[in-house]
Amino acid sequence: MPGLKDLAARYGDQGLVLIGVHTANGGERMAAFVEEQGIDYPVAIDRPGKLTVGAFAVDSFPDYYVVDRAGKVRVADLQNGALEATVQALLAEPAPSTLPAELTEAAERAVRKDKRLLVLFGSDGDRAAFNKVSRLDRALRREISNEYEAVSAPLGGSLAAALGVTATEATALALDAGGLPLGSIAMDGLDRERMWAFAREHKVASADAEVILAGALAQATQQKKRVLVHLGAPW
Amino acid sequence: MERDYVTIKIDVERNANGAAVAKRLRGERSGGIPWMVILDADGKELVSSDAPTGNIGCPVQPEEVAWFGEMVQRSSIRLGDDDVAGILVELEAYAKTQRR
Repeated sequence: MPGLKDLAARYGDQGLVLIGVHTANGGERMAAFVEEQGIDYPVAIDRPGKLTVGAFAVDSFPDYYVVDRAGKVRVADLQNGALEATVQALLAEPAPSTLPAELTEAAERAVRKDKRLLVLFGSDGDRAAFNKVSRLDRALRREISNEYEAVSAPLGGSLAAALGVTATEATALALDAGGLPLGSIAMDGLDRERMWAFAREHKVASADAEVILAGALAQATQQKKRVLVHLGAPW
Repeated sequence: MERDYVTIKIDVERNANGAAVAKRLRGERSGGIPWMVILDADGKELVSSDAPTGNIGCPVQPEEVAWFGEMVQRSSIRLGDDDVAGILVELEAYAKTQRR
């Protein structure tokens, strides 16, 4: 319980909502227990007949079920050791939003590949100038390709209006995969250094592979499972 | 698969320390990516996607699908033969869509 209170305190301002469910058996003592322990997140009591326990196929206590920002159960039957890493991973995902139609396909790719969106507002010439800068630096070109799904759009068009872009000069706009604008930069006169800074500032935070592996091994130990590691690359 | 496996994906280029973890797990073995390895909870390798004929990568061809089945057979804890067969049926259904 202290661990859960700590978790709720540390991640509450990022959107974590913790709800406890007590079994119906012994539920009459739950309120006193909650007060005694100083638990400040909501705790419910299951209905007789193990309705909640049965619906979620709970097979051990405590058992955790983690719901994403869109309300979908993303991880079930989770145990203590993997809880925080799972919470961190789901909190890092963008909040659901209504995407302009022009971004739908790119956003789907961005979600699937854990990328951000990059909308280049301007003329063909503006976009060619942008691409020319990135082509001069192979690492920069790869960084943009690895981290962003790029979309082109004219200034003053419907996408600019939908995203609230009022600039009259060519502009690069970074958004999360849910369509939330993160930052923009004027494309006119953009050099490699500023493009690098912009790309780094708005890309998805890189998870540490050592942490991912350690978390998986801890979960495997607790749940008596194996770890299947898939080594991949952006290309 | 979830009954017996905690599945993770490590991007050798985008994840911090991705290349280092890949090097530690794979050593000097080559054969391109994707590459898979199944570890026990202590981190010891049980089996990898290196079939006798080389890395199967993303299993698409029948022999690659078969090796993935071998990987599961060699490492599973709770999954029985029927479970593995069911996994391979699903994988084969996907693989068929990827074959040229």
